[in-house]
Order: sequence, then C-alpha cells, then structure tokens
Amino acid sequence: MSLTSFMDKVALTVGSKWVLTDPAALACYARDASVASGRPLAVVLPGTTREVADVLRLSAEAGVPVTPRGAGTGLAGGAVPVDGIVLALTRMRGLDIHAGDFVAVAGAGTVTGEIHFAAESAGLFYPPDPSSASVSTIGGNIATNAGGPHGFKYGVTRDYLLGLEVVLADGTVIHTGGRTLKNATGYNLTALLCGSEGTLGVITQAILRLIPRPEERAGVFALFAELDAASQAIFKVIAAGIAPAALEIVDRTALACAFGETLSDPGAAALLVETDGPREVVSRQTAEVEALCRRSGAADIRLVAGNQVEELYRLRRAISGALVRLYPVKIGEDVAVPLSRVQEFIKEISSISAKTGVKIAVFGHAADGNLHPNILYNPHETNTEHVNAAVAGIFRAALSHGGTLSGEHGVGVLKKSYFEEALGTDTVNLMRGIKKLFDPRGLLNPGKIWPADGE
Amino acid sequence: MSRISNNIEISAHFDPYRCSRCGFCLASCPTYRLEPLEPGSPRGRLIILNHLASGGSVTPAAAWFLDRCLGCRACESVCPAGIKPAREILAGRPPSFPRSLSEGFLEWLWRFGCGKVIPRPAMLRLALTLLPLLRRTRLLRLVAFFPGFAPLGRQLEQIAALLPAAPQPKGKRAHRFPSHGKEKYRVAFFTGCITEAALMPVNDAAIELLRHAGCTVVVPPAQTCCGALSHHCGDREAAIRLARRNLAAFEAAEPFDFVTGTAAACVVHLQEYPELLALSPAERNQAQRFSSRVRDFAGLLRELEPAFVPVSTGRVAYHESCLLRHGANSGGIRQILSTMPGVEPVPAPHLGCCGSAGGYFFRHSEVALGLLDAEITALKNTGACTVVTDNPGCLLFLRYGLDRHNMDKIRVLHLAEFLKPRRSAEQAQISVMKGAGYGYYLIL
Repeated sequence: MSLTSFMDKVALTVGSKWVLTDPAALACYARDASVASGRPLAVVLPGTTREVADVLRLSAEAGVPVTPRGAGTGLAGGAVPVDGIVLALTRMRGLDIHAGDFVAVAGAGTVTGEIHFAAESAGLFYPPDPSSASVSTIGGNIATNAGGPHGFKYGVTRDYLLGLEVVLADGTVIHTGGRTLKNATGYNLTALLCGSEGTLGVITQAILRLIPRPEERAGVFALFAELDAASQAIFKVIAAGIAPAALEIVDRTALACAFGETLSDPGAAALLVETDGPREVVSRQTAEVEALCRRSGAADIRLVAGNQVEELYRLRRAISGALVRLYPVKIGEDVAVPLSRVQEFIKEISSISAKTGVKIAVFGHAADGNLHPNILYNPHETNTEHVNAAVAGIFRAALSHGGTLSGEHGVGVLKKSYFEEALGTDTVNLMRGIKKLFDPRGLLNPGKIWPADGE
Repeated sequence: MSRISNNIEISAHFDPYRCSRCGFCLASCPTYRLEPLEPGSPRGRLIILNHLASGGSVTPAAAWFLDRCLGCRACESVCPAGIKPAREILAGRPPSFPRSLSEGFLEWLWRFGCGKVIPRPAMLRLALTLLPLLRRTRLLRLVAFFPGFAPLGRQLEQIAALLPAAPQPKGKRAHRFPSHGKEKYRVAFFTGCITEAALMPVNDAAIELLRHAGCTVVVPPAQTCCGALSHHCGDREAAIRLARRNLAAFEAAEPFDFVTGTAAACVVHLQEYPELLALSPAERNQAQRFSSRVRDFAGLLRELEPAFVPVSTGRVAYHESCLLRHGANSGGIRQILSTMPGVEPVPAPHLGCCGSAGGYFFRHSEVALGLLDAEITALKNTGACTVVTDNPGCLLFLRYGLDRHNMDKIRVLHLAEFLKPRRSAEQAQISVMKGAGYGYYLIL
C-alpha cells in the first residue's frame, strides 16, 4: 500500500477533519513536555475503538509506525514520534462511574482530573494524582504507570487498574482483567500493559478501581533552614508509623520558582505532608507530624485544612512548569530510591551539582523515594557535556543506591541508553521477546525504552 | 516495508516564549476543551508561532488555528511559568487567511465595522436599527441566494438575532450627574459604544448606583470606542487612533478620582492603554495617569462599599467576563453578590468562555456557538433563575443562547441592573422604568 493510499483510507476511516497533515499542526505533535522532538508524517485522532482498530490494521498493512499519544505532558519523550503517524486519543473522552461496583470506566482520552472530579461527586476517590492531572489523559497515565504524591499510602496507577481494552498492532481488540477487584485468572496482562509506553498495544479504555473518599484531609507545610534536616524529617515521619497521604519535599530553587509569592523567606527546603482519614486520626497525626518536623529543626510550620490543602498542591504541581522562570531549559528526571536511602541520595545530588557546575533543583514524592532532580540550564551558557555528566551522575547514583531510572514517567527516549545498565541484558532480552510477540514488525511506538540495534 | 528511521532529536531547544510545554494551559483553553486538538491549544499555538518564526510557511491551517484563539487569557492565569500565551498569539499571529470569498467578505466587514461603524454613534445606531429590520423582513435571507454566500447570510442572521428587538430611544445623555448626598468621589464614566447604543438602561442604572454610592459622575462627551475590538482583530492603527481620542476626551473632563464603565472587556482594555505599542513616551505617561484610575464596575463598588440590595434573591449564576476573570482584579462580581442578603451566588458553568469574545462570533461562529451551547445546557443544572454578568458582549450572547434553547425564563442582567440602592428603592424603580422596551424591568 502506498503512503498516499494509506492516508486516504485513514481519512475515510476517521473523517478528514480528524487527520492533520499541515506542517504547523504536525509541529504541535512533534514534542511532549521533554527536550525530545520528532517528525510525524500525520496526526490521526480517532473517536472510537473501532476507528483505532481500523487505523492500526491499515498501518500494519502499510508498515507505517504508530505513536500513541494522550495530552503530551510526558517528561521522557515517550509520545514523541520517531516516524509514521501520531495516534492522538484525546477525543475518546467517555467516562462512567459505577458507584455500586466502586469502578470507573474511562475512555483513553479522559482527562485524569475529570475522573477525580466525577469520583468525588459520587463520594469516591481515585488516588493516582500526577501533577499534570488537570490535563493528562488516563491512557497516558496507564502507559507510563503514572504516580503522584499519593504513592506511599495509596500506590500508583497500576494499583487501581482492573481491566483494559487494548487494540493490538494488527488491529485485534482484546480485553484484559475485568470489573472484579480480585482476578487470578491467567497472566496479568493488565499489569504488563500498564507502563508499556504504547509499545505493546494501544489502550482505548480502562476499568479503574475507586475507593471510599477519606473523611478528612489536612496538611502540614514545614520550612527548613537546611535541606538535610528536611530529608531527615521524611524518615522520622514514616518511621513513626504514620502513613502520610503525601509527603513532598521541595528544595530552595523549586520553592523560589513556584512558591515565591507566598513566602517571604523560602528557606532551604519545605516538606508538604498530607494526612487523611477519619477526623480524629487526621488531627492526631497532624499534631504528630508537626512535632516531628519541629524536632527535626523546622523553622516555620503552617497547618492547613480544606481548600488551603488544595492551594498548596496547586503550587506544588506548578513547580515543574515554573522552573523555566530561572533557566530556559530543564531536564526533569524521575529516579526512585529505597526509602532508607533518600537522605543520602539527596546529598549526593547536591554534590553532583557542585561537581558538574550545573544547577539541579530537587523536589518530589519523598515518602515513596521518588524524586525529581531537575537539571536547569541555559544552552547558550552551559556546556552540553556538563549537562550530560549531570544526567549520568543522577542515574548512576540512583542505581548505586538500589534505585531505578524512573518512578512514574517511563523510559521514553531520554533514558533508553541507561536501560540495559539498569536492568541487565537477560531481563532486557526477555522484554524484547515480549515486544516481538505483541508487535512482530516493531510498528508500535518504535525507538522507545531500549536503544535500536546499532544506536 | 519498514519505514522506521531514528529521527528523534534531543536538543536544548531555546524557546523564545519560555514555554516549558507542561500543557497546563490545555485544560484551561475553551477551544481545546471543545475540540481536543493540540494546534487549537495555547501551547500548540506558541509552537505554531515558533514554527512560523523558523521559516515555516503561513498555511491557511496555521493561520486558522492561531485565529481561533478567543483571547480569553485563561491560559495566562494557569501558566506556571508566568508567560502570556493569549497576548503573544495576538501580537504574533499573521493576518488571517479567509478560506472562501464569503469568509473574506465577512472578515472585511467586521474590520470595517470595528474601525468605522462602531466608534460612530450615528452609524452604529443605524446599523443596530437596520440589521434586526433586515432580519425581520427576511431580506438577509436574500444574501444566501448568491452562490457561496449561504454561510454569510446565516451568520448575518445570527448576528442580527443577537441585537435587542426594539431600537433604543436616542437619548442625549447629560455630561454631569451630581452625587446623591455628599460627594465622596468624582467618577468619569466610560459609556462603551455598544452598551450605550443597545443597552442604554444598563448605563443609566450604573450611573444611578454610582450617585447613590456618593459619586459625582461625569460623562466625557468626546469619548469613543475603547478600540479593543480593532485591537483584537489586528487593526492596530484603528486601535491606537481610538485610544488617543479617548485619552484626550478624558483629560478634558479632569479632575476625577476614578474611571469606570459597564463593559468589563472595555474597562480592561482601558487599563491596558499604556501597553499599546506606538505610543510616544509623553502619551505613555498620559495613558498611565489615566489607566491607573480605571476600575471595573464591580471592583469600584467593592471599594465604595455602598448599601445596595439585590432586585431578586435566590440562586444567581455569575458570569464574569474572561478578561476580568483572568486579570489581577478578578472576583469582584462574586464578592459583591456574596454580600447580598438572600442571594446564593454560583459560578456560571462554562468551558472557560461563553464564546462572545468581542467579535469572535463574527469570525468563528461554529466555535462560538459550541461554547455557548455548552454553557446554556449546563446552566439548567445550576438551578439559577438569574445570570448576572459584567459585560454587554456576554450579556447579549447569553440572552441569545437562552433564546436558542427556549430557556428565556432565565434572565440575564448586568450587575448594574441587579443591584438597587437600599434606601431609595422607589427612586431606582422610576429611573429603571424609563428604560422601556425590556419586559423584565417590570419585575422590579
């Protein structure tokens, strides 16, 4: 099939309004929120699972690669197209809450925040809460196994995923899992597809688990004069047996970018601790967290409740986007280390920054060991070698502490050269074998996760 | 056949707009919420501007996506990096690319209207009388008989349907209204061209409220259109010309403490006069002296804290105009309503904008109507019987939308019509009765 006849057939399938080929429109789909950029041939926006299946069948026949995409908020280049078409699923926005089953059924393009809102309106709670939730799609969250601040107590996207509707590379539609909370019937393909970054199939619909909404939530915002004192407090809170709904660390640079207007003196670091649950537990734990922070040397502690908690989160979520206020380019990393190593690891990032001379801001989900060192620089001033050294330094430090390359963003294109080093050749080969089984011709999101041969 | 080539670039792209591409603006953008297309989002539009700046050609699609920006600035209030996509897009977009003859004619007609008709009261009155007349006599339908002009005829009909049915009485406004009681402030009043011609009772009510709040109101006679409409359709020359005329007109009316008006979108534009390019340093100083005293109507009332009461109680949906909502002085209308006894204010449920957006309806009626229909449908669920707004554009457009959905039991009032002085309710009734032609005034 020639490319022209492929494009004609695709346009017939989804309607020509939903096929973009204008160079300016393509430029919009060439990038996500990372520093990677690609060159798509065309962008296709299907409206139904049927259309997705037809498009994939056509692309399999024509040998055209397909890069699935949600809202394009990824930070690892996972949705950046190497070649072929971008399959943007943003139109598939169906959402049903089945309160009786504690289940939500969402189209891949449903915005995560809409799920939060709909669940809350039904008195329920969907905990995974990536910073981009106001715009990110559930399909993208599943493809990257997105997390967020609630990881320690509530887990990540995979922990709320009961079933999937997936279109395979040849256009076959399969269903995995189901609406039951337990499922031990065969291999857990749902879990395998979650975090597969669009390389195994195109997720078109998800069945999500909802839980009862906690009765109360409250927050402690503690400012520290020393970064190390803040990271010490993290461990103390968790060691005290408190399961915080969130425990976020924000360093001086990140505070200055996103919290600048609300703080007269940002200090060296802040902890944002959220507790939730029954009213009496929340008030007791809030007091305990406050005391622990004070004992660790917190200089200024604010207790917040209700809407103020949301306001703090709003500022916290703004950090990643706000960092460009200081430097025009940022590389946002996403390593995770075992809990006992968080304090040590944060110290090591400071020394990597000092050694390479590159500014690194640190913030992240301290309670689950998932940190976001962000390398900030001006390409006109900073040598790329130093930037690369900082990136490598962060990855190697995380691995040496028994950690991993990515906690919630995925490998994408930006981390693939470290992939084999992180997992070992045998594991990677097994994964490549699985990929081959799902997508023998390698048309689904090519160029991601591991280096191509000879790369 | 495998066409895979590894052409991903990892480059420290230096973005002149400093956009981090986090995507937060997508969720706020009405056009993206209506149709989730990246080039129809603020982030996408900045990428298009970059694409054009680096040598990409201005294709009709590129121009069209840029032109579809409503200019509502929702993106600006959510941007973590603090950049202003809506203003960057307005400043950077190339002249639009009409896709058909009738679109081109409509575009020309709109520019002509903004620059030459709307700023001239006599011409505007003539247009406001003629258009509904042409509609009632179905003469507008004739346009549709010319090949290719069916959409134009439809659009002109829709625009005519926006306007109030009865032509306004040609009242000559006095230039000075002394305060009721002791004068606390002198307020220069900006009438707004469309408000004064089509919704004169709104201005009457506002002036009366200001007098009760202790203000002597002066109405500079030489004032004209604020120029926002021309500014937003890219006619910078007309925008600057109108700004200069207003600066001179208000200078002649000195001294005054504040400037206000009932059209929130115009008020925001008056506040931004110093930002207009092509002003000389002396003019910029003059503009700064003027603009620093400009307050939106709700904001000024908030400062004056007068003893007003609502004309009706119960649940009231407030529709704050986009430019005000996403500016530094947002929330005035909600705060005023929440101090009113018996009034339960709820936000009007929109996708970020009603779609009115200056002349947007003229250029992209499909998007405008999509946004309008979404808001009107959602309004039903709020249970509100009254919508209060601060902007005549939104007011006319919402009334039109309610009419389209046969929901005209819900009434749309300007904030100035929704409030009345506590002590002299009778007096207000008389002044409001003068604004005949509006059935709902009788409810007062």
